[in-house]
Amino acid sequence: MIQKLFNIDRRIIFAFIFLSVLLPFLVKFDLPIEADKNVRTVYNKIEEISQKASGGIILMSFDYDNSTKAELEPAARAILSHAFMKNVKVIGMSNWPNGVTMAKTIMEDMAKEYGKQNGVDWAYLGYKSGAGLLMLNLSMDFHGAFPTDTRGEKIDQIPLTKNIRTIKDIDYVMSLSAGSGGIEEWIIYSQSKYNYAFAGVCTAVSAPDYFPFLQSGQMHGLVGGLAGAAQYETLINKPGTAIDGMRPQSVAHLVLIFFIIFGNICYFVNKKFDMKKERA
Amino acid sequence: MEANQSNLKKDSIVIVLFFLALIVVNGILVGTGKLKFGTEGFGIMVAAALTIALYSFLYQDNPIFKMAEHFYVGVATAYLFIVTWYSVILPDVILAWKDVGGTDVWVTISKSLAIIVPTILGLLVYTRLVPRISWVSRITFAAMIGFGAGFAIPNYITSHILKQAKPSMLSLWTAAGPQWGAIVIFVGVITTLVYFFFSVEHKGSIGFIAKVGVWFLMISFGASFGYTVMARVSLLIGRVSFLFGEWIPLIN
Amino acid sequence: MKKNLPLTIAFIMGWLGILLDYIPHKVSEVLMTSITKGLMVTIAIVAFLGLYSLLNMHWIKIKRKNAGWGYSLLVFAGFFFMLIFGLYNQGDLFWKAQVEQGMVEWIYTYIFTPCQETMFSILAFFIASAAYRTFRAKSMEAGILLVAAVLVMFGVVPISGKIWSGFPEIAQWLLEYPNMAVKRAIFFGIALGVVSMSLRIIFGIERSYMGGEG
Repeated sequence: MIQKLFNIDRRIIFAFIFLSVLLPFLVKFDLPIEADKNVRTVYNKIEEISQKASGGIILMSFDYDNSTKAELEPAARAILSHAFMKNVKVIGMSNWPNGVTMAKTIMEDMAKEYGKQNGVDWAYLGYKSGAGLLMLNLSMDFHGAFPTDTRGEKIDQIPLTKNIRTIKDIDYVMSLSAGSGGIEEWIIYSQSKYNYAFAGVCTAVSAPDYFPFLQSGQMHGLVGGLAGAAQYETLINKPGTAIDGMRPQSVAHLVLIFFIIFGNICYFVNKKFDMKKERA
Repeated sequence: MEANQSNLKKDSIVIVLFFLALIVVNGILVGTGKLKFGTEGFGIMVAAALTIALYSFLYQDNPIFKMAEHFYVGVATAYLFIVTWYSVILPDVILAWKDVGGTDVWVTISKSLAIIVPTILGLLVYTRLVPRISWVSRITFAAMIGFGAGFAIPNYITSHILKQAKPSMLSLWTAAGPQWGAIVIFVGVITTLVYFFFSVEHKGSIGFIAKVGVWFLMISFGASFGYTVMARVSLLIGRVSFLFGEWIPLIN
Repeated sequence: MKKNLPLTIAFIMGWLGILLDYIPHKVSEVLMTSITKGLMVTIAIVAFLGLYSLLNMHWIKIKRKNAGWGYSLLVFAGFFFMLIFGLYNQGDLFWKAQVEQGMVEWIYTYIFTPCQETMFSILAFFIASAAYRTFRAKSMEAGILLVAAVLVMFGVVPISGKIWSGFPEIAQWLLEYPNMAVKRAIFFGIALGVVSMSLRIIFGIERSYMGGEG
């Protein structure tokens, strides 16, 4: 019996996982979502720079692509909503080539929702190769790194970007990162050298890796995974896909924990049974 | 030969059944007005078909999965080509020539060289396609890797050693009493470093310290595993909400 | 020439990378921006070689009619489907900036995105199956790993807070202290590894980038 449970067809486990994600979407229940201090810091910083007379400028580096869209897009939309609500200007760019259309679409959608004008309130500069090289380059010579935006407009003539010469002219830099060519490279090749306010928005997989940067102050805020995005949505009081996703997320985790504990119980029972058999 | 033909027949049946099922479901969705037939509606149908085709791998490897997978690889390759062209090659190599002309000869020369040198360096890599002169491509790799190696040294030292060392050495005991957080960080860093230090045999007190390091490592790996589960489930949530939200509108 | 020229270039470029970073002078800054910008362009040109290699591999498969060559045809179908619309560029062709993406955006949204998202989400199923079959507390170390994993997995989702407010706090503590300490120790190791490997490259001890013939 125990052996049978051990060798259960993996497709049965797959079915449980699938249902644990689907069913909570159909049955609604409320969950308490409270922002942790790392998410709150990002929120507070945007609030702070919105107080500036000029409105403040954020650089959002979309360092991810479709593979992690479900995790990072809700956070990107929530942060853009917050910035546009507070009249903070946003410059977008990408270090991952496969995310260009996605990043552009997100920025266009959010700008449309808040009636923001391209070139004045926001700009999307697109992708350049090199990751670390690009980060170092734009930190010293912003116009040289991105001569034009994705529309082919010269950035030294775009109202929003014409006065930005170096990274120091930007109030807040954040990388929405899914791995290599993201948060870590920003810190290594740019932030540690130019010491500006930097935040990370990352996939849950990589979130534990960035805690040393938080404690050292190289990164002062972190929005990690879909849970982080849900916390940000709670802070701006704009429920979206992340808050909705917390029900299936919670149930799927419970199902997985059940599987792990059940697997271990089976293991120990089986071990005891084997030992008894050996003694006999 | 016979086995091959039987496989081919089985594959054909699977493919036909898959498309028939899609036609029926999409027909019902369009017929009941739950999915509008237009550019967006058709797109959703295609996206749903591809999603199911790729998920079919969970049952077992099959031709539908392979077809979707290969088509996706082709599209991804072309997209990368297009993005690199319009984002880097066009503005920085081709259209950049528009800004080269000027009254100052030296500025013109330096701007021209800034385009010509990297372009030639990049093109040299293609000598790999001609075995007789393939060694020339090493020049490009040497320049890229050499510079990368050089500028990594000061930057890694600053970000990963200097800026990380200071917050590891916080006061362990203050007027307020023991600082447990600082103690855990200090012990964790030291014991983990000792575990990775293989020049000394892990015996006696060093062995014990290394063992504590392993416990810390296990906690960290456990935390990473917990977060990895969260990441993967989030991606599944994205696809489920597409299939049952945008395609078959079960979720509001 | 075949060996020494690349080694000399790597040596010079390596030292340039180090020195330009340490010299806070206008000239070194101009040189640094020029080199980094130049290499960004070089990398983009080199990237096409990777694309060529992938397509060539499938072309050879088709030419030799290797097993599954029909699927390779689909790689080319997908490639040209996207490429044609990309180069057409809404009628402006490929020597003008891509102001509107048109059909490229459609293909990206409804073909590329669902495929890539689905491929990665499949891992959710496999991680569950693997956890059930192999995640066992067979030793003390494995037990610590298991307990930490379960605590974090549970503590990071909001349902844990509904059961007991201490669960999210425990998960946060594990991440902020023991986990952070380990990652920091690994950072030290990574940095020392990068520095030593970089020095090996600069001084020509590490030559694997030369294609194994160095």
